[in-house]
Amino acid sequence: MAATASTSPISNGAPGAPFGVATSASRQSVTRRLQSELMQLMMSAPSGVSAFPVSDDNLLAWAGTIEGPDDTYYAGMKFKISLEFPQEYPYKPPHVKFTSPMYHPNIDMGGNICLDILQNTWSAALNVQTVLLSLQSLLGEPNNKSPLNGEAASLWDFPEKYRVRLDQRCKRED
Amino acid sequence: MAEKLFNYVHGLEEPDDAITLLLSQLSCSQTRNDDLEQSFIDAHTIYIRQRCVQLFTEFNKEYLESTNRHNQSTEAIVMKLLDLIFSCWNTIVYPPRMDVIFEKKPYILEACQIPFAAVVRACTDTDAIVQTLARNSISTSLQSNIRKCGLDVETNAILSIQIPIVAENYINQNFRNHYDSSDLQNIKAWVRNELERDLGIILFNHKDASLSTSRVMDIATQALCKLRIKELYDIIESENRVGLEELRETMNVPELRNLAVQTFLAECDQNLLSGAADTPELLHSYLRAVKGFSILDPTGVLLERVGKHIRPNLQERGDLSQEIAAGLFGLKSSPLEFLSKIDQTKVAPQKAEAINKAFDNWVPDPLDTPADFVRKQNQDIVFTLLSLIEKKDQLMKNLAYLFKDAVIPKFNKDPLPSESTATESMSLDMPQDSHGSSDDTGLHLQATYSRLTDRLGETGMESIRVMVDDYIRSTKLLSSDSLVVSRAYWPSFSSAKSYTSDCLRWPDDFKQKLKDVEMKFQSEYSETYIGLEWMPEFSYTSLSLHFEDRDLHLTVTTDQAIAISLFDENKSEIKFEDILSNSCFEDEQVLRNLLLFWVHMKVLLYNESDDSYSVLETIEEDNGNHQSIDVDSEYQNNQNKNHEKLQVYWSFIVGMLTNLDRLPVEKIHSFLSFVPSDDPFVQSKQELENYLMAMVDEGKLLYDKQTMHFSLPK
Repeated sequence: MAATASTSPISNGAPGAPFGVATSASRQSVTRRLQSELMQLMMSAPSGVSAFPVSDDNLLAWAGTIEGPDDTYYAGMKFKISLEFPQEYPYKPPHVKFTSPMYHPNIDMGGNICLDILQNTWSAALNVQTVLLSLQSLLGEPNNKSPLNGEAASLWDFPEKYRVRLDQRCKRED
Repeated sequence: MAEKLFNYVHGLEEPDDAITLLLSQLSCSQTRNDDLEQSFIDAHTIYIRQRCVQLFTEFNKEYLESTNRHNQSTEAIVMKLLDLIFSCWNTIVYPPRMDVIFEKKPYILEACQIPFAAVVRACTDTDAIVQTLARNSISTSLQSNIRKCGLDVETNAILSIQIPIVAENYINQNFRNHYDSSDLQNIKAWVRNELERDLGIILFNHKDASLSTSRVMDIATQALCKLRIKELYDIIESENRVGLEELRETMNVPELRNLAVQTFLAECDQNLLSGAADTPELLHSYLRAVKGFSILDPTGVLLERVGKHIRPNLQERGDLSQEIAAGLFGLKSSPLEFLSKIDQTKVAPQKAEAINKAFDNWVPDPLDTPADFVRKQNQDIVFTLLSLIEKKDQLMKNLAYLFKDAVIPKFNKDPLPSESTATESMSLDMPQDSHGSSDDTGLHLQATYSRLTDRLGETGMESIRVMVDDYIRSTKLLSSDSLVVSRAYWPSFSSAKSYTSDCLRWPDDFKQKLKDVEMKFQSEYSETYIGLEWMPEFSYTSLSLHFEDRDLHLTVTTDQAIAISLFDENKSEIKFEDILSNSCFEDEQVLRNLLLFWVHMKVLLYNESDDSYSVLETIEEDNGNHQSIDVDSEYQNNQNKNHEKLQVYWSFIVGMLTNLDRLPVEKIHSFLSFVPSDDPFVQSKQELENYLMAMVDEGKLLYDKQTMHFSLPK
């Protein structure tokens, strides 16, 4: 009756949860939330941003990719970021950093980012996708009033000088 | 005076003299002379200690240390020791003339007893004394002597250790595995008739309430309780009500309740909560535990603790909701089929009388009730199981599949009766003999649906409702071998290939049947009719194939039948592209899989060089032309399924390679387990690698042979 088995809609296999045994309810719920966010992100595939867990046994650490938006200094460039989710996610924001070299008024040389939604104005309604898109738009619209990189902020309105400094720090891909 | 006492203490003076002196002193003075009394007591205490040590040391030498011991029974030695103790008492501690003082001043007596008892303890084996006392009838005078010399305190201490041991041994020996009958009365009788008689005299006449009769009864009951707790797992597994009720009666302190839970859970860990136990087995055991602990502790406090331990184990099981769904649905093959037979207990509105009764019978929650505990009312087994399922929609999905399987017969190995030769998708064979009349099936489905909605509510059951309605509508309107379904509501139909009756090359009589169904349906629903499409892969066709050297009689899916019908009467090779253009199968892959099936059936031969197929008219015997249908059709179906599934995963593969750059196939394989799906990722690594290599060929991926990593093209 193998033919039936193969057409049977219900799978017989019962592999457990993909992340092993969750240790607590909170661990379970953050895992579940991240898993559904991953699914959503993969299925909607927003253009120019992407992210994925770094390893298959820990859903709390992701790597992301942000492409510089057209009509900005960063057009044609690709940047890597890391996202670390706390156990309390989504009630606390993820810790996000640029891992590839970056030159931007609101991003310091260590890759740390000054973005309000990642600090004070974080809300559980936000998600990985909104974070990625916010970062992408931050590239074109920095907040020059509270810079982490003063030089970048002061050069922002001088395209030629800015491009030189940017190219020194980050290699363009094309 | 002081000097006299000193001499007395050091044995230089006979006690008699000292006592005489003391008495005269005490009687002379009308006023109390506390100092003098105290000095005397102190002196007397030292005197007793010294004399006793001396005597007992001699005794030890004579009876306990020397070889003499071997010649005498312990009992005899102890009797001798008792003699010694009593003579000691009578001559040294409490000589007759002391009465005068001691009767007036009981505290003097007390002060003297303590050192005496200490000496007795130090010098001898008190356990043996007590056991001897316990075994031998002791005269009342002896008893009072024992009490006087302070041994009774000792005795009590030892009895509180001894009685539980005696009781435990007796109960373990006589009542092990006896839990199917009530033993409590027997044990009470034994305590009254035997234990009390043996230990009684010392014990029960004693004024110390801590070792009263009821205490001994408690000890024996507790021993029984501990025995039953050890057996609790077996008692619960065998659903033994008597054993459970007896345990409930004896399990009266929080420590024992705690022990019961811990012992049971430890057994569970060992016997049950491992990968080896399949889910239905685990569910059964869980239900037995629920039943058992509800009897043990009607308040549910213990059950909550047990549940907290077992439930996560169940919830981890991927097939949990599938098993429960099969049980609820009443699938005959389900180990949990009985679930479908349990009527929902309706919560009757409480009458005033019942409320009063409940009020009268109210008992407080047990001491070990957690602060956040809430008493659960009227929970039946089904409710308990349903509460395990976190995702209700998963349950509904599983139920929908069960309804589908009930309506659409599974592949039958034996060819179906020839007149019911295949139909198609929206229309399906209903083998009459296996399912009873289709009316019955409809009624049965309807009853099952309403039973399930009583239990689960109608939310989420909408698609099942549509399925049942579809089925009933079809059986009323159409011949019993066709089924018109509302495609979007049936599981696994929405992605299936469908064709109009004009599209595929159906056999003529067959096509007529399809047209008839369409006509009937159109006339019945003329206003809303848009058209029917047929899904051949969900129906079955019996066919006979005649070759030069053999005949084959098979029941295959209708799309497979249509594929082979393309070769009817055609003996030459046909190129794949010609087959494709001739067949109306739009999807190249679908057709290739169908042909592959026939190649595996050794009906067709594939010529790779010019991508063509031909009929294998003769077959060499040793090739074994009786290939199993099962294996091959499964192969074919899997090919289809895998291909579709992998396409779903493509977006994940792109996602991981975008962010993680380069990955080996193993990593990609394990990452794909992230994909949440009803059907967890089961593709083998080899299949995935084949798929990835195909993508490399198509230029969608890059492969580095040295590092064996895949990456996205820039």
